[in-house]
Amino acid sequence: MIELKDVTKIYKVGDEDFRALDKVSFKVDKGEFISICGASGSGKTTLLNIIGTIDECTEGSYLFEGADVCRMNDGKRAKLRNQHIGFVLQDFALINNQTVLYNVMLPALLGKTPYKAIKAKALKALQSVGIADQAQKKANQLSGGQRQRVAIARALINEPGLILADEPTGQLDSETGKQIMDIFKKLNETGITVITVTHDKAIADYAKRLVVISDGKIVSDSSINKEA
Amino acid sequence: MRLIHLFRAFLKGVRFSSLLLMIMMTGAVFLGIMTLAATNYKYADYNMLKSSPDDTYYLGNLSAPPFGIPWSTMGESLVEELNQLPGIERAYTVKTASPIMYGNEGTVICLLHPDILEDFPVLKEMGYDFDKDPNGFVLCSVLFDGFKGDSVTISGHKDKYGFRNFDIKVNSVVSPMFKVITLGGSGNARLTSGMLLSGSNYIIGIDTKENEALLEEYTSGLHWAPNAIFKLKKNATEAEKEEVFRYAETKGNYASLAEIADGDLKEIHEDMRLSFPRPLFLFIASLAAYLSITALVVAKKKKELAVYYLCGADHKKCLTITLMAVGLVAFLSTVISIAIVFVFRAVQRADHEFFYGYLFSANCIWLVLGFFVLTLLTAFAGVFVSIKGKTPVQLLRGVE
Ligand SMILES: Nc1ncnc2c1ncn2[C@@H]1O[C@H](COP(=O)(O)OP(=O)(O)OP(=O)(O)O)[C@@H](O)[C@H]1O
Ligand SMILES: [Mg+2]
Repeated sequence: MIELKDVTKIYKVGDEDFRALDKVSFKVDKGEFISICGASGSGKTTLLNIIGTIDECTEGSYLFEGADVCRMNDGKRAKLRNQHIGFVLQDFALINNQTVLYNVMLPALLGKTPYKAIKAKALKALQSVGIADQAQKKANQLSGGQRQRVAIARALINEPGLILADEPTGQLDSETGKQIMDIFKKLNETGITVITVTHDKAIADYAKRLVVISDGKIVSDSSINKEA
Repeated sequence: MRLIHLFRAFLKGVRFSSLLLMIMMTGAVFLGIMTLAATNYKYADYNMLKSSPDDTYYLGNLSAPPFGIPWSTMGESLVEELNQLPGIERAYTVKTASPIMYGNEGTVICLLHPDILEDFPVLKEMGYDFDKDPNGFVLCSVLFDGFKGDSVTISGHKDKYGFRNFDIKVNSVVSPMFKVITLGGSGNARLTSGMLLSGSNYIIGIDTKENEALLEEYTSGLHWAPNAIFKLKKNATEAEKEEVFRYAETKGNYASLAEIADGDLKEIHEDMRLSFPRPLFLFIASLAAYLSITALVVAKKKKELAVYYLCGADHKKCLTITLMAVGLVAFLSTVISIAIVFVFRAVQRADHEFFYGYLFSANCIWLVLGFFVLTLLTAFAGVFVSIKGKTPVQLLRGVE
């Protein structure tokens, strides 16, 4: 599904180059559930952003279902992101003064779905994360766990094949965090590919494959033995 | 449809400041329109004078009763005396007959000297056309708006007989937007509009023997307007000119129309100097306000735009939504301002005394559109400057 080859990301800090990612090669198949772990500043978010097409790599190649993302223009990448990728971020990235419903509808409004169908889809997505009754509330009237469910519903509305979650439980208590991870697990069981970034070992264990990254390099990549 | 929804949601939180800005801009444009319309009027007046021939003089401020001099006592002596001077090519003035009634409304009939029409081509442009029938009249009054027919029944007052009905022939009906030539201005008219009276109810005819006899028969109110215009002969000698001016001096004040026109132009310039800074200041102030509110909108909405980006909007779409949001203010205020121009124009057509002294011509629309373009450019420049810097990725990472 995804293939990164020698992906390097260089930030210019003053006159110096800073390598946030250094020749990362990484392959993801359809239906995988991957956790990316690593110390703070190791480049996890940078990697996820590149996979999510909101950031561009400096060197290397990135194929998304065979298509060369590096060659795409801004519009094409936006379309890819809109149709095939759902984002869930640590700080939810919701529009606070808008209703839950509007927040969930947003990606569909940016796509080609007719308006009438969008609302039904949004309600369905909210139902699937168990907060359909909150649809008319403002996003900032919800609890952290509810907000993250809204973010997941938003990520799901265009029925993407890939969900990227950057520390989705970072602002939640461990119990709520587990509930959120259960949702990801269920989504993965329906065939959606999930990549999460996390510090938390317990959270990482939800995945089937663990990628450890350190100083911009992948230092280990192994499947998680559930029995262990 | 989808874009409208995105856009409507995007406006949330900046609606109040946008509304305030819109009111301010519309106010600025409104003041601009009124100032321009007032200048337009004076300028139209000036152009009317400009179109008159060289060596034409206005003689006014004659010692006369306030409502003119009775025809019977004055006769045509003034014009005759002027015409007898060897330096004068032609002299003319205007007779008015009143009271005349049409229905229950009072109106005035003016008999123009035919030469006036030749020397002031602008009158023909205004619709005073007597080619069809020199003894016909032009109905120049809102009273007659929509009037159709070849003749109209009016009534005149004749001393002990009271009012009596009679018919006059009709050449055409014109909408008297601004001026009606009567030379009836009481005294020292500085602007042409002073000698061309304005009023709602006038019937204009030519001073023919037939017309005069008709009016004489039905109304005793035939008066001179106590002012005159005379034109010097092209080849008049200095001595002949001197003689004319000496005679004119004994009758009142005189001035060449060219001089009056020059005076008008100076007055227009002076007027512009005095009245234009105010709307100009407001324009600039509202532009500044527009810029700062644009910056505010962008600052307030940056994070939101980053979320749009995250959800699959490209940079272009984010920019479009922002430009639409800030452009809407300019757009609405333009639409309102143009509507104001049209409404005022319609009001003036219906009752031309309502906006007396204003002329809402095409340049009012151009002013509005020009302001629209300027504000849009300012706003767009503002968007581009303030949106630059942080990328959506940085904003999503919480870089403020
Ligand atoms: N815009 C930028 N300019 C310069 N350096 C940057 C920029 N963005 C990220 N970095 C650097 O790149 C490195 C990787 O950042 P990244 O956010 O990917 O780390 P992370 O693994 O997600 O860390 P955390 O666990 O704290 O979220 C960090 O050292 C960071 O300082
Ligand atoms: Mg991170």
